[in-house]
Amino acid sequence: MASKVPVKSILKQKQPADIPTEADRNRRNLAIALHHANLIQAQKDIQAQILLCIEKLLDLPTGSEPTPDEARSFASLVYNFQPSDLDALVEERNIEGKCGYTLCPNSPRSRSIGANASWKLSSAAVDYCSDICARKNLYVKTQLGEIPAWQREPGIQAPIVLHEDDQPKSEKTAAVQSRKPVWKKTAADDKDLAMERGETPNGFRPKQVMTDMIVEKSTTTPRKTKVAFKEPNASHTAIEGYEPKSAVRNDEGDEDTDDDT
Amino acid sequence: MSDENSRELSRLWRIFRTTKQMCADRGYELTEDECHISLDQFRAEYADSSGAPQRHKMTFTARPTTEMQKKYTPLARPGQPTPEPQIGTVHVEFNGDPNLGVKGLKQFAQLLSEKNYYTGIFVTQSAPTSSALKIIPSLLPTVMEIFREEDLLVNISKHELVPKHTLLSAEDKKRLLERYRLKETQLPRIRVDDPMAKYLGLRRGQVVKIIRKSETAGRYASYRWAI
Repeated sequence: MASKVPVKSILKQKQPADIPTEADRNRRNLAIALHHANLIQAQKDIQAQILLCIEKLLDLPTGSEPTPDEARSFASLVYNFQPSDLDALVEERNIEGKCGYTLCPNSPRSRSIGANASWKLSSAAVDYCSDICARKNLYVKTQLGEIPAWQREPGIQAPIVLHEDDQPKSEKTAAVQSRKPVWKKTAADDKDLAMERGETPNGFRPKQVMTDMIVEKSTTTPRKTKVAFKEPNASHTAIEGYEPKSAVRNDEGDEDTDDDT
Repeated sequence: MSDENSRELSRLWRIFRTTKQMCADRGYELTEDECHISLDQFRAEYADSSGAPQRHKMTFTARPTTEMQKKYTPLARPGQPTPEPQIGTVHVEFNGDPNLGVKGLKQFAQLLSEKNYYTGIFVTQSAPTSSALKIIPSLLPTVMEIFREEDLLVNISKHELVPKHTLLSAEDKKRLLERYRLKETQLPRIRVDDPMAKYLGLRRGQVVKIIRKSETAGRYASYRWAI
């Protein structure tokens, strides 16, 4: 007789699953719950911080001119904002009677122009003292991240750069700029350029480049119109000397009949 | 101009009356006369010489009745044998500013904390800005409630289609859950921003009993858990 082959099941072997104990499950649930609770808490913290930032930015600038410190703090405080938060800031500043752009001490046009402002200007322009401020604010707004601050990966959001006019100058560069001699300009003025071209300032037309070759322009005579105005034989149907074609044909017919009679 | 004043006055009279009735319904100490003030009386007390209403004069405070204090007392716990009632004096202010921002609400919040009021009710003519509303959760445990004037023109609790809502005390809530062998999560719910929930000043976790008319049963009570 053939030797006995051990019977092997063709069904899938069941893996001995390690059943989690009650305590294990509880611990995992607790960890998950804590994780989510911490996420929500972080979100609330950042929202509260943004509100605090809005409150701080409401009072800027303290003087008539924004100081470099204030400009720097504006750029840093606004870092966590979403574009909608900046809109909220503009709204709040308007209620306080200040221009929507944080570094501007003037009052918005909704106050300076009065009740008529809303139909003289677009609704967004009313919140600022001038179009320049509106543009500067837009410059900042476009840099803000659409993703809320609590979902941002660290390092993705670039630091906010202010508009060139408001960029805080460090004391060193400000000093260097003030020491710069007045006569040294970046662009030469008209006088220098004229000298370079060899024109004398006392010349006949000093600002224009002179050439000694004279080129005759080709003259064009006005084209003669076919029908002269007030021609002696113009009929009563002519409009400013022009005879409409249909009218001409009719006239000819009329003339024929006239001739017959 | 005087016509406009009188219209504004009667509008504010209705708002004032509803606010008082709301506070009385919540359980604050207010007399029946105060809650049903007549227009003439209102004009005599709160209007200036030109007949225009003065909102700053309408400010009032009210203390909770003992019943209300009992209702708001949480259950005794092993650590706290005699818990404090979670309710106190209410301060109601009326604001007529055309724009209400963070600063306006902060001022009111500061007043609440200075005078140590438990609840503040701010009735505003215009809608506060969205960032101003975000202040409210930061003030806890002081409760600040904001109502628009137009929402208080009519007392909604007196409308025919609005059933009677009553707040259950912590003890009543416990008894209810034991009676029906429920967990509170198994109750039907009501949002805290529901108009009637706002009217009663419900807080998260409280239970209201709602008694409706029923054709078959005469009266029908249901319970809702505020979330």
